[in-house]
Amino acid sequence: MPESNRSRSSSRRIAAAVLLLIPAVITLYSVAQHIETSKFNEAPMRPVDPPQVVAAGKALYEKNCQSCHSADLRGKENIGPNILRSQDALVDMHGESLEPIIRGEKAGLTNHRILTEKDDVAAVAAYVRSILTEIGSQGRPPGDSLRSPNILVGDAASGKQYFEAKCTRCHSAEGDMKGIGKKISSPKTLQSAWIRGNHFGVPVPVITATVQEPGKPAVEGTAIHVDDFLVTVKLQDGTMQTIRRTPQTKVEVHDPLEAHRNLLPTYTDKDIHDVTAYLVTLK
Amino acid sequence: MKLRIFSFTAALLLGPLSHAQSVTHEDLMRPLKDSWLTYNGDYTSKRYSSLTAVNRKTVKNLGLTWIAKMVPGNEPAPLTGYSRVNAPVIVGGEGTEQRSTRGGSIKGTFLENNGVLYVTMPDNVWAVDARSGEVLWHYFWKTRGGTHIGNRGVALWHDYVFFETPDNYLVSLEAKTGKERWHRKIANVEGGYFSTAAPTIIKNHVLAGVGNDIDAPMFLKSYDPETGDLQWTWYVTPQNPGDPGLDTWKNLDAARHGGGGTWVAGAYDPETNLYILGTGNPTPSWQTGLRGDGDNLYTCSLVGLDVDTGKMKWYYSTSPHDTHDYDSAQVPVLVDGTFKGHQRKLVMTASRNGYFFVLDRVTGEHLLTSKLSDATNWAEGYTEKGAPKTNPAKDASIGGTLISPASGGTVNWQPPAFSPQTGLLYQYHVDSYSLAYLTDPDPRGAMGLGGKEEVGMGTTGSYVLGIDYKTGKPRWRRKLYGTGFGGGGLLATAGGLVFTGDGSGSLVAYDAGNGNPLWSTRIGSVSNAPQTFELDGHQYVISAAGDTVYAFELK
Repeated sequence: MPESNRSRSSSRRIAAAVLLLIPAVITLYSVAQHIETSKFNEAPMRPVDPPQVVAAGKALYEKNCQSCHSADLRGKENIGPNILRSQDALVDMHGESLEPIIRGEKAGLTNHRILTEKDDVAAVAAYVRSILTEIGSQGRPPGDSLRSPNILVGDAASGKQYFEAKCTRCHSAEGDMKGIGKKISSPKTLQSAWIRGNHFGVPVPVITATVQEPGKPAVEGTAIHVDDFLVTVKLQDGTMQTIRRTPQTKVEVHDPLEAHRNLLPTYTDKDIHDVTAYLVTLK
Repeated sequence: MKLRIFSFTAALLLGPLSHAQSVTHEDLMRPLKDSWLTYNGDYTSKRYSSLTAVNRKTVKNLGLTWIAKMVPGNEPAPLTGYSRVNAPVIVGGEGTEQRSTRGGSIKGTFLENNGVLYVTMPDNVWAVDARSGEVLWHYFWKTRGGTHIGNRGVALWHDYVFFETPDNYLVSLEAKTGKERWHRKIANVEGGYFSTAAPTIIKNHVLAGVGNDIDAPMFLKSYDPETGDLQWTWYVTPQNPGDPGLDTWKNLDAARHGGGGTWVAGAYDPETNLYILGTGNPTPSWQTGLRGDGDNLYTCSLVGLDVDTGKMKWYYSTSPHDTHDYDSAQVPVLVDGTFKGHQRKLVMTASRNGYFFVLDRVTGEHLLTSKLSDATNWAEGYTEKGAPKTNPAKDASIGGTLISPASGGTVNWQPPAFSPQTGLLYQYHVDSYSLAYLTDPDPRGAMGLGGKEEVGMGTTGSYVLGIDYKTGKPRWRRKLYGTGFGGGGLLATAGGLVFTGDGSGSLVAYDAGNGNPLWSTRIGSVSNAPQTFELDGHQYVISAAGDTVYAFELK
């Protein structure tokens, strides 16, 4: 084995070198990660700036830029534009586009002439670039997917009234809906669930079909495929059967969720919010 | 001497061939028939073929003639048919690394000229033998990135092919060999731009459009097809003080970031020299804090541009002040027909927002708006110009707003078809619902498509409509068996047929007069618009499902 020829000291030196290399490898790895693509639009990522430069840039931004462009860089109306949607910022790789703007060299930006040190200007540009990498897909601002305001804006008492008037033919607060507010703890999920008639994690009710060909016994089973020409059903014994449709073939499809879908045009937004506010109380 | 005779014979044999290959302005001006030379078949965008061999009576005999699977990327194409030779792969592009090509399905329109089909996926163009399905050459573009959502196809002019890439290059190839002639940067991928459109070529202009979801200025650019030189740029929204339409925005900064993509090819009216296209939605898409309460022109509009200057002659806003990402980037169709007893030059469009519009295409005068289904609920009544009036109560809200259609629209990019025989415009219509939650109540509004969460609530119906443009009402409504669009667009023929995907795994033909289903074949989810052309006296019908092209003939 080649290793056996090595002296102890050289092994130690290698071990030390490996230890020293770990952070470097991690850095390289993270750089490699970043080089892949941006989550914004799959474009190649810019080179990553050293964290200490970004941190210095952040401090300078807060002191000199934030009052007009906001802490989140999304600007203040009629005072400072949103930097995150600025083409000049988005195309910047290493300061070539941002730095002249920060220095106030572009027309109409004389009020930018605050930072004079070259390194300070570069640091602010580095900080801006670091935030640009946080833009989400389809141009969403940083942190957009984390925002989740409380959607409970309805009136539970009105929701109870609506439920009792419109839903109790099929559902009851003491029966199938008992504890629904506990079973589905997220009000947003609960709202989707009752409107659709089912929700993620619960099996979708089976759609069945009855096919009646002239002079033949009706075939009934789980609807696998239906179109204008063919119907495929899975029979009770587990076998599948495909039937060619003719103008005389009668096909009835029974979708348990169809009734729920047909209610969609009847809801007002207030109905929806009220019913949800009521259902969350069914703990 | 022998040699000379041979050359002479060769010239006789090859001369007509090489001549026929070249696509002239006169060729592009002809109504759709034996070839398919531009995205929407011809400049009227009717996707109406005058071929009649395949018709209501014979369509039952339509059978498979070849299948060709396209393999994207920088690899030799697999051997197809009886070939023992791999087709050449020509590699171009500014990207430095090999990147997997996503969106690997065919959503574009093929062009057919002289027995050669041009097929695309993002970053990939194939020349395919239209008689056999054999790949003749494959061009692969190494990308720098950009949203790889789809590619709508190539343009042809003289002996050249033109296409756009997701990282926003207009690339020109030699039609015969696939060798690159030049490429030009249309927009910066770093700025969020991506390009899916099929370029349109009119006279000596290559018109290239773009998309972008972040709040960016959008434009249509015109290039010289010979040199690749930029001729003009038309911005969709005002970019400078004093620009028309600026009073429909809160301020210049809002207008400059106002979006309005140009990602679907339009139609061309030679008499007025207008290129007529639909523009995309304003940005930020869902919140208007920065945009103001105005119409946000010229987003979500039909516009008529002088093709030589890029100057707008008229516009009509089909979704003034959009707040639901309802691009009006649908293909407009040019029809000469009677309207209220008068012969008129019309343009019509079935928009993503659920409404149908008819205008006078010479003046832009509004003639008709109709709501295609009762489900559509985002608007209340009409503006004084006859456009649907957006109902602010149907904007995204914290508690969730039930909107119909969902932001994907009653229809999206899928090109419609129009038959002069029936006077009907054929288009998909999906009654979809979603809950639109406002997640970022910041009065400044969000950016791009942010600040909201949209949760699908299902669909109550999915159809192909045959819309009578004189009334704006569907004369027939064919139910589809899926919950989405039937496929990637429609084709109408003089054989009295409408071809489309049926949304549940088949390519189908309907009777154009009443929507009755006449023929179907289970090739999988049809991903582009079916097309037809004629070669050696045979009428072909072609369509794609995923990465595979299927060709049919009468058997």
